[in-house]
Amino acid sequence: MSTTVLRQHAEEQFAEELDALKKVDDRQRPTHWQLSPWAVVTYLIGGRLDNGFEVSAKYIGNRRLMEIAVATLATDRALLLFGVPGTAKSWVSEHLAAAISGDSTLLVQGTAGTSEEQIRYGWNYAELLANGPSEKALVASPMMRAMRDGKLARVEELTRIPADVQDSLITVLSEKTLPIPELGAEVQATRGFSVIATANNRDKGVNELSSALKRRFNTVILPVPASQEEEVSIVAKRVAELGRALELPSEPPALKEISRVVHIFRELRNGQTEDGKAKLKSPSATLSTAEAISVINNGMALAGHFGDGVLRAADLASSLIGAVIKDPVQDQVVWNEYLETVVKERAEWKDLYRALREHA
Amino acid sequence: MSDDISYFGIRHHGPGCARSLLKALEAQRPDCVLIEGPAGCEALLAHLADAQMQPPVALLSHSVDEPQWAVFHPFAVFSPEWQALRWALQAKVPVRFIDVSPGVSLAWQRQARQAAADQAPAAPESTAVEASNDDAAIPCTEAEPSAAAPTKPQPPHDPLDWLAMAAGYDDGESWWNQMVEERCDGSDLFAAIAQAMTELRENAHFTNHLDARHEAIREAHMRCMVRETRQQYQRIAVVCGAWHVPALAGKSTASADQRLLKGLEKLKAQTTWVPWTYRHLSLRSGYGAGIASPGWYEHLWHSSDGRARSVGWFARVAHLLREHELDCSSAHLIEATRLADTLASLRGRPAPGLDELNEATRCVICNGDDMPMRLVAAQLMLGNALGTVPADVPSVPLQRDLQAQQKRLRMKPEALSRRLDLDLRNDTDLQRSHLLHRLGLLDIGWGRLATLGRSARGTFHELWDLAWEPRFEVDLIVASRFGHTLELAASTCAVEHAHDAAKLADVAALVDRVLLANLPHAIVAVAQELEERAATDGDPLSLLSALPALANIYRYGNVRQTDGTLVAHLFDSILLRAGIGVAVAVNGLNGEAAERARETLLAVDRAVGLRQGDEQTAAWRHSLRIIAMAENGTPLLRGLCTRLLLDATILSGEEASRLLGLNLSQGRDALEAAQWLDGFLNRNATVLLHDDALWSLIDHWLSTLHDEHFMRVVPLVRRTFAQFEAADRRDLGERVKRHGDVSAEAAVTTPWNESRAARALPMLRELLGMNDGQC
Repeated sequence: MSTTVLRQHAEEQFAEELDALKKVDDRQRPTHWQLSPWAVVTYLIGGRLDNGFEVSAKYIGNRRLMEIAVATLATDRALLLFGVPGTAKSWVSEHLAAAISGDSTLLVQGTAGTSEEQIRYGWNYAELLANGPSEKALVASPMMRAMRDGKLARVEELTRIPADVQDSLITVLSEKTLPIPELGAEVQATRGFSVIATANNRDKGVNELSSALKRRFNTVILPVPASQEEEVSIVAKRVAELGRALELPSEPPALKEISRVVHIFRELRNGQTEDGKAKLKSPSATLSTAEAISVINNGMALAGHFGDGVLRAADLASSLIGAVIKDPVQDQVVWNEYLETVVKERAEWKDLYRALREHA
Repeated sequence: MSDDISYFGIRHHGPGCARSLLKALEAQRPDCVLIEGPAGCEALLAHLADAQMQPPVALLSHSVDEPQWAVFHPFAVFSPEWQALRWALQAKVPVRFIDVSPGVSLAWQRQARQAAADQAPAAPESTAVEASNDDAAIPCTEAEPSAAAPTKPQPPHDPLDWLAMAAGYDDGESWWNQMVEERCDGSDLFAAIAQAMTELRENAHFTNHLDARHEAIREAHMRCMVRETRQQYQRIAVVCGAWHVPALAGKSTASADQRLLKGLEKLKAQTTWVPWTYRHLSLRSGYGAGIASPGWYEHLWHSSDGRARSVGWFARVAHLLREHELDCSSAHLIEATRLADTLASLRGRPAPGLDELNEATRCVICNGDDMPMRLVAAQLMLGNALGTVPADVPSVPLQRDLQAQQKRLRMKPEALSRRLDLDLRNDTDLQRSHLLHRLGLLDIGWGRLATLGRSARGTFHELWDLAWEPRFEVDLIVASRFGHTLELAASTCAVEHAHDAAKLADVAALVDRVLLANLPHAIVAVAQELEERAATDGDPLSLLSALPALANIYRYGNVRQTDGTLVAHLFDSILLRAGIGVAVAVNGLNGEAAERARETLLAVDRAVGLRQGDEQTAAWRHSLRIIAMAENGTPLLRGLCTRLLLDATILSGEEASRLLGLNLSQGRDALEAAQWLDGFLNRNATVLLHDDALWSLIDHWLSTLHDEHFMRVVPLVRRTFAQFEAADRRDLGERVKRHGDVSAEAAVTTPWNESRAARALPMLRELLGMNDGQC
């Protein structure tokens, strides 16, 4: 099975690591948890176990954030992972569920069309018509199954779900129960149940969370990578993986180009130069790590199919500009200012400056 | 001779140490307390009994002859030293300070500054700038330059970091907080600290020889004092920085110590109490006593029990947030407390520390938002406590500094207004001018500067009206919180003003004032502020509005021997940034906004002229061209820019008339055309008088307008022409007359009697009011 699926669930892909952690983990586990909170953090951050087993890092970044996330779930509060697109929210949520419940599949995908049935329960109408309402006719939602089994339910893109449907989560999170009035019954959550939701904080306006719902979540904001080295290593790793998958004809890019793209992204995102000497304006674009990866990929495709196979400044220029300038008027000003005051001044960036000027 | 000596190694301003220290003092009941503080200042301890004396306060010692050298010994309510002082006061036990006397510290400070100056004689300016963050070199500094670490002399790395690393913590600060300050039981604490410090001292290496020598002298001094005290008292408690304990308790000989102490240089010092703030105690200020969160320490001091501590802290957070109209319910607090407890247990800590509390606050109460956390950091973690001192403590150094300068510059404060004419080429007068400008920055309006006549820009004269008022004395005391010399106070004040200024132009004006007051430290900071704001200011017009002030400084600065290059750099970078965005910014402005933008553009055009840089001029003209050519731009400004380009001979006459034709052509909205013309003529008729092509184009445009259009355009065109000089208008009238004749000749079709018609002309002129040439 493993060879035919395009993408495995986290608990399958990292089954070996989870087993190894389980073996050495002798700390106290909350009810229905597969691992202790300490082991969950180790699983996410990576590290070497006492028996020499190497756990790979799932999340590259601040250990404290993962500790807060795990501690939140241990206090049976719901966890809301917030962040700009491309900051590994869904990735973290999947791995948390895999490590804590051993099951990352209890997933509700939030869209504008998500209905209450997907969060509460639906009916098997054939059964319902034939035999009337009964347990058998009930189609349990992932949320209901998670409550029954004491597992973690995941809600992706919470803020895309219409407000009235979001509200059905409130009872689940505060009363920890799901009434089924048609049967005069209810499903009460067993210990270990909690919810991990992810939301994009650029989309706040789509369906902003009501304060009643917000209050039931502990919010952890996943930041963009803290240091240039960290971000370069994430981008380089992902680009290499994707390049192989897409069978791009060009050579893997030189670290130099990656680090320049990351450099530009970081400076514009942070609103100041990396040496901290000059302030800059930030464009409206997100400029996430994921976008840096796609800029490099795009450049590689250009270099491979139309160039000499080596990633150069000219190959990057157009997609780089496209990533930065989302608003043709304001962002253009920001970009030109950046180009003239920062890029132009850097002697070793002459080629990039020329390439960017040509495309501007 | 006694043998009952207890050494209490503390961290300065550590609440956990203070608590343990009090317990230990109660247990030992010493009959004399020795404290690591400036020797010879015991007389000032009498003020402690005064109810007005509320910490945070500081012992300020300054040199009598050169008040720029000063050292501070701050005390907060949670400082172990302060608690030891209070304990001794209540128990009626004598207290002695055993550190070197302030005079010696001041002398060291002066030596360090001189050494720094000697090392970099080539670039004194840059040293001074860098040094402004460094305790050793800023003239006014904390008594213990190395107090940033809990232990005194700071080896290359904080020695506590080593211990912390061994214990698996990120840094020494959080390790020490966890192990010492945030724990509730304090038995055996001092023995453990002494042992840890002994270990550390064996492995620590000093890189700075001056520092190491000073440390040795201080410790020798302390040992001598202890020896002396042992002659008189039975049970002695020594309260000193943990770092010194091994050196004080270890073996030493009196003669070796005496040798070290012989012939120390000493400045004549004066010491007084001054009110202090928590901000000054924190790392973030130049005087840093090196504790990150004084507010948290105070909370620790007031709440001893671990559980009550976190709940109490959250309650304060909730109160603060509600005061600022942010939601925070009791339910939030319950959840936050649970999360903080879980986090602490996940990290294997007995009770939540500040880190856990902050993380829980951010995550539960603030929904992950950073903004409320900043409020918490500023108001609670830092705290805004301001101490008070009794009224009868000696006067503040700022007053004395001003008096000294007044005496030196022979400027007597007089209540009667007096006019002072300063010639800035004369050194004394220049210094007087600096003094008055500095006072002005502190809002002490002793002198008022006349801005007209001989005092105008570009002359060597300044005219001041001097009048001293008694309230200035009070203002001086108020201003002394900025610093204890006039130069320092004015610098700090200017920097704060720059941070608080609402508009970019205000900051630019401040640069001017700071330059006038000759405050090199502040210039760098204010210029930096200006640069940062310029970089983030979204409005190019507001950027541009900063330029005229800068150009003035650049052009006329050398009258006052100020440095123009700094200003030139600022000017250039702002011009560059603004130039890129200005074309977009001036699009689609309405009447009033366009008028304001016109003034700004004109002022900047003059400013660029003053700058006299080819590159800058070229860049500016490029921007002007973009505005002038923008199809959908504001007509008034397009016209104006076209005119500026024409005046700069960037546009040729033909090009200008082409543009004129284009903009006044039939297809245009007449109103827009009139506005364009208004901008183009720029209240100045010369171009019309001397360029026939332009003249005829305008003439043609005006005469081919439809009636309806004409009626709409006439008021605008009239207003445009009304702004010309009277002489210009007369010339224009003459010209109209000449041309009118020509066109009249052409138009004559029916024969009529010239001479008879001419007879009516004078009367007609009279009636139409054309006899003075105004048409």
